Amino acid sequence: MLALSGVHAHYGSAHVLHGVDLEVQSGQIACLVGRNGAGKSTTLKAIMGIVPLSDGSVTFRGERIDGRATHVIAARGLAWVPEDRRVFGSLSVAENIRVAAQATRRSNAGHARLALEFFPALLERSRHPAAHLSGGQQQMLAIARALASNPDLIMLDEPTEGLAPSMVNSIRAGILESRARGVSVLLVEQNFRLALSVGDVFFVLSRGTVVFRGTRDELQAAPEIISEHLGIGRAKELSQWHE
Amino acid sequence: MDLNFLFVSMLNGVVYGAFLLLTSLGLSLVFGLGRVVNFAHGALYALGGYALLAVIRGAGVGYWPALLLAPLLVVPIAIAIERTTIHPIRHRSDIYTLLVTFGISFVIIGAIEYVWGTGTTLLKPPQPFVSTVDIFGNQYPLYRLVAAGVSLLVSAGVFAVIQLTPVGLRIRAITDDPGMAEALGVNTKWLLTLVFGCAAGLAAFAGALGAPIFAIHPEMGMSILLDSFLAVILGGLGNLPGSAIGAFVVALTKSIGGGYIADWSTAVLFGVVAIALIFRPTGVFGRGRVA
Ligand SMILES: Nc1ncnc2c1ncn2[C@@H]1O[C@H](COP(=O)(O)OP(=O)(O)O)[C@@H](O)[C@H]1O
Ligand SMILES: [Mg+2]
Repeated sequence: MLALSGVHAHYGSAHVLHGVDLEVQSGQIACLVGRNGAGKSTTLKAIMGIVPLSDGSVTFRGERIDGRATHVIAARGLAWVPEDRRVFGSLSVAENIRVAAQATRRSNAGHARLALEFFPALLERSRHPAAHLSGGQQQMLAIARALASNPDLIMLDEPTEGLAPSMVNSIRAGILESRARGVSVLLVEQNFRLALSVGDVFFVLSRGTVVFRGTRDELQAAPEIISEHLGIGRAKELSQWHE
Repeated sequence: MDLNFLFVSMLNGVVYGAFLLLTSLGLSLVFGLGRVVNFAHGALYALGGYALLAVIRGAGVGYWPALLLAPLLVVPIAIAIERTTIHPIRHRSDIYTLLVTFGISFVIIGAIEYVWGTGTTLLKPPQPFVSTVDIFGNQYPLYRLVAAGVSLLVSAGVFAVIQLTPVGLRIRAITDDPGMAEALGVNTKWLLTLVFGCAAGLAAFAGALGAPIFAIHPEMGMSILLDSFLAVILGGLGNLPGSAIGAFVVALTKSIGGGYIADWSTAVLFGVVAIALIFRPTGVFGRGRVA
């Protein structure tokens, strides 16, 4: 469904992605993990055409999308939930969702309604300005807004960061529900336990290159990868998860 | 103090405010959407006045159809200007678009002087509004009131489009976060082109509508450009309701102040705006933003 091949990207003169290779198959939840500054967010931005590629290619549903305008990439069926959520604060919850549903020809009012009902907490607040929502509710809105565009693949950048445990559970349920509805997922997640509990395949990114790729079982069989590229604490999390 | 004089000054202020509303809304929309400070807005207003003259004198069309045709002629010109000059430098810092639009304004004014000369023309008010009306013993030109009413109606229409239509929703989303709107599939650059064209159309409409009130001359757009900027800054750049209030504050200050302290009114106005911005750097009315 989505394939990155030898993707390089720069911020000015800083070389951030050094040949990233990554694939997401249809119906999968693929997790992209790695330490802070490894280039996970940049990878998602490169896929969306927000950060230009200096080399390599991005293929989505059999077509090259690198070099395309961001709105064209979105219209092909890729949705992006950025790190800082970026809901439209002055718009109501329902309007946030409607913008996404009306932006392309992929989706209709039915998709907008489904997206609004995706998290019951949002439906109750559909007329509230998005700026008045809590952080967790804004995260729900950012995900619902992305789903409103009826995407084939949704990319989530640290969706549970800074959220209370009950919120984390709602977001987790939302991720699983997206896959159940036929939307593939590329998940960037610092909460390693959560990533392990939902992910089908894993890509470990370190200094702009993928240093490990494999299934959950393969990742669990490689604790040295986890301690080296994700931090010692993560190896502990993993052993706890084992129990 | 002469109460009648004050009353007529206020009325003039309201009429001017209605025109300023039309030009300020366009200026504010274009800024909110693309962070484009459009210094050519006044020249496009002037172009509206001349387009009206051209259509009436050249094509022999009556005033009312000409009033609709004039802005329709200016919109494609503005769209061409945006696509060829502003669009290619959008990725540069805001100062580039400011300088470019400043240059465009001189090109437009130069073209107007080349085609129509540097003279001043005052159109007669159109039928059936040539007469005056009696308001508390003052004979006030009827067309001024009609034109102000038309301005207010058109402005209300702009607000309705922004608040109630899908295009308006996209415009509000882009004003909030252009990058995110683009990532959801909104073609933000074309929408800016479209809104630039429509904003120019509104300015041109104001220029044409005001032709029988304010004289037509090549630099007729300069003072209204300045006043619109004051209104938009006062209201908070990109904040439409704020700009609307700003337009009337500026117009009333100018017309009432102008009646008593004449040329000083503009200086006073700049002083008021400067002081206001010291205390509310994001505009005086509501949540605005200065980039
Ligand atoms: N806008 C930017 N300009 C310059 N450097 C940036 C920018 N964004 C991120 N970086 C740098 O790029 C590297 C990768 O960042 P990022 O992709 O955000 O990492 P991650 O999401 O894995 O934490 C970091 O070293 C970061 O400092
Ligand atoms: Mg990140």
